[in-house]
Amino acid sequence: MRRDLFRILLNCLLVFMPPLLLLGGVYVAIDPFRVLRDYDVYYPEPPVLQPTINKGMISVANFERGFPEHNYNAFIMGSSVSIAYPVSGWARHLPPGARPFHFDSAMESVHSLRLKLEYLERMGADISNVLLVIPPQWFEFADSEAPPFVDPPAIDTSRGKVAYHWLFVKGFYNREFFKAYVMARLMGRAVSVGTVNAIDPQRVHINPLTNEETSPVLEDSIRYHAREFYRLRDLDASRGHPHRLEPRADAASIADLEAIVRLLHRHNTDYRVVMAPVLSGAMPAESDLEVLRNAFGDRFYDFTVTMRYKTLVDTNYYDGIHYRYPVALEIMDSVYSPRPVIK
Amino acid sequence: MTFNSIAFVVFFAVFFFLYWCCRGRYSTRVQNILLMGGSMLFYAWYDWRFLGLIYLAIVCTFVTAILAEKGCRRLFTAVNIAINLAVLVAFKYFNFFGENLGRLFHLLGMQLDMVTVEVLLPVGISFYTFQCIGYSVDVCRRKVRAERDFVDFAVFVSYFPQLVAGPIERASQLLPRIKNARVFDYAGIVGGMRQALWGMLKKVVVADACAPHVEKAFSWVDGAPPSMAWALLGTLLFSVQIYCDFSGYCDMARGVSRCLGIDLTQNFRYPYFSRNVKDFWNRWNISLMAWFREYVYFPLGGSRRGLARTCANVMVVFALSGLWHGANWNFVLWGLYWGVVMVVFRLARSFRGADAAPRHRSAAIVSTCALAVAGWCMFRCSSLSQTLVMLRLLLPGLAVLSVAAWLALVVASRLVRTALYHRWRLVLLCTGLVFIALVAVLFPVPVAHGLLFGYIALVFVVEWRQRYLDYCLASMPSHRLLRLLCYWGMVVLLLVNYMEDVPFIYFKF
Repeated sequence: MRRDLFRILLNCLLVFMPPLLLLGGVYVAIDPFRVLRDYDVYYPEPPVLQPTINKGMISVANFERGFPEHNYNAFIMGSSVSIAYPVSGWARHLPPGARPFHFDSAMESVHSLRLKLEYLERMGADISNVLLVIPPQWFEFADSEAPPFVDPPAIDTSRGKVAYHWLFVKGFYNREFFKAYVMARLMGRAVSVGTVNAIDPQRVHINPLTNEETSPVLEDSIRYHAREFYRLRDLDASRGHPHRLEPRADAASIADLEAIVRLLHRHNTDYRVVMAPVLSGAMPAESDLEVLRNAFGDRFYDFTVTMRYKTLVDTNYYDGIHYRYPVALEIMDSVYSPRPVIK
Repeated sequence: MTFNSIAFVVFFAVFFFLYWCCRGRYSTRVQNILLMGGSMLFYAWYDWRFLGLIYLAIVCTFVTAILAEKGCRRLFTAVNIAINLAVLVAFKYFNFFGENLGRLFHLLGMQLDMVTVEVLLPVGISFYTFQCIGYSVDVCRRKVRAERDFVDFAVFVSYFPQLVAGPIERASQLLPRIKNARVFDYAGIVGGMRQALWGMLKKVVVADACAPHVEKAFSWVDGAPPSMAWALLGTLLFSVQIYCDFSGYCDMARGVSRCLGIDLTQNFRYPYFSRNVKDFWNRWNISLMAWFREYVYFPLGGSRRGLARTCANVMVVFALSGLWHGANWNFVLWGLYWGVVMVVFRLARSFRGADAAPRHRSAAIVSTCALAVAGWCMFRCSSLSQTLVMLRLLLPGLAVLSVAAWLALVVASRLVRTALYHRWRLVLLCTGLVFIALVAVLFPVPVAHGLLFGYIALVFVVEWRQRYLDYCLASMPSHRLLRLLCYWGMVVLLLVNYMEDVPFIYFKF
């Protein structure tokens, strides 16, 4: 019987190991999400077909590469809406000697922001200045395990490296994603997967020094072919009447906010928290606003009402949620002026 | 812990080696204690709070059966049935009965304020309750002796391969297998693994892939209903989904159990290849229908008290089987629908003669499938109004599709038969492969989106070819390399289609 048991074990290995090794080998060779190796450039030029890369992971990689030399001490943080805030534009408002870094990640939740600040503290960074850019739906963002959003283990220490990479392997061999990936590779054209991911040639440039994300192609399209650009994106469909969202701030979010504020006070950080209007007209619930005001006090700037007029001009936005740098520059001028112009 | 989870694979790998490492005089005893512990862990993985509930059923049934054997058989059996049914009703039907009682009183002009309680349905409660009741009645009828060994009895009720979604085992069949010493049978274990692999393939590759499309077709409630084509496609895919999901589970359960040296009852025998509705119910959820036949239909008089009484009994059995599936009028409607279909079939057969075989085999199979598909539409809908709308959309398309499917089957079977007669098997295979390759190259996008239909075709073609065997993959290519290629192909399909922990449909029943 012992021999037969051993035979069964061997047969199981023979049946299961080759496919597992094959699929594992394919994943390692392709590294579709660019998480297995260090890359100097995450979005190569000319652009190649690839899925959305985890921005949080890119931010950490660029930070760890540049921190020993540049000793960053000023950080723009927040979700993808923060890409509108140019580091050079912000630097004008910072004291001399500030070395800004754009430390953003996709769909950054309250908890994720807390983890990120704790990471900076662990790394021994001097957190002198922070500009936190939040969308009206901030409290709706939950910690995600999807490849574009999951926090890297350097930030989320509760998740080990194996578990982290396992999420990406699972994400790659997800039925819908894998099918789309194979189709995109075979046909050489972009394919969308659900609502949160796409496999397309992303024309994005990330400055490895400041981690600033720009898209010259996108900017040129808006500059020279704005009407066509917005027609294709169907911006009008994103527009809506101003409305308050359902209250979402729970005890866990409030605890995270308190921890964030404690950490910022510990570092004597000069911080500003800004929220701009979105095309859908969504605004946080009054109770959620109260939570933010209680946490950040007069350092919280809510422009969702006062800058509503910005939504009337298409070219202020890329899409329904992401506004462009003119709006961001105006917000920065406002919050960093001795007496805020619009608040 | 579901069979399609990584946790189960790890659990079973460890359990399997521990189980077969038991040797010596007390090996069966130790194996049964292991089975009891493993089953407890398996069930607690879902929700440990319900462990008390299943052990309440076990202890209650165990004690009352022993007492019934000593005297007052009917009394103790009735007490046990009442306790088991009370638990089932409390957890599964309380709100349903309460709401409908309230409505009835409202119709009569009276006000009845029933309390509705948010109750979590314990996994597999309908299955183990029925198994306990069946055992109790068998003891009462003196068909089996009351079990005196608590561990063996606990294993009989909570045996993890069949605990959460059946098959519902009879004590006369499963208890002796639990009590007898197990023999390590290499071929049997390999067969069990093959069966489990095939079940997993059906669940992961087909059933789980159908789920989002089905959801899309049925998720509307008050909004705009889907188009006729979507209603038809959604219902057809649900028919495939529920079959691959449930029969996939049963294959995995039987396969896993076979690896432990215990054979379970066959619960599915390729039901979509049935030639009439009676045949369909002899092949679909066999153990449940056998339970209803034994403990409801026969006590009601079965078919011995005239045609009218027989028809009434059939209606009762199917209505109850509908209600067993869930506390919703849709399930009752589905049961009544099948009751009517069975009664009509019985009447037609009494006029035509019981032994009259269908003249066109393919037409018989297609029409039986069409009736099953219409039934699944009622089963899947979430309200009566939705059912009516969906049926109105579905039935014309289903009628046209049935005729088209019948014609296609006739033509295809003629072609295949001719090819086989002339020994063109290889030519046929090559032509098919070249055709598929050409279509894939010419139309890559539709082919990629239509992969699901390819998987469905693969499953049904393999099942059709192996329909006379006890389980699929009982016969594999004799050449070792070919066999290995088949396994590798299946494992790759499983891995690239795997979605973590998608629950089985029958877990909620």
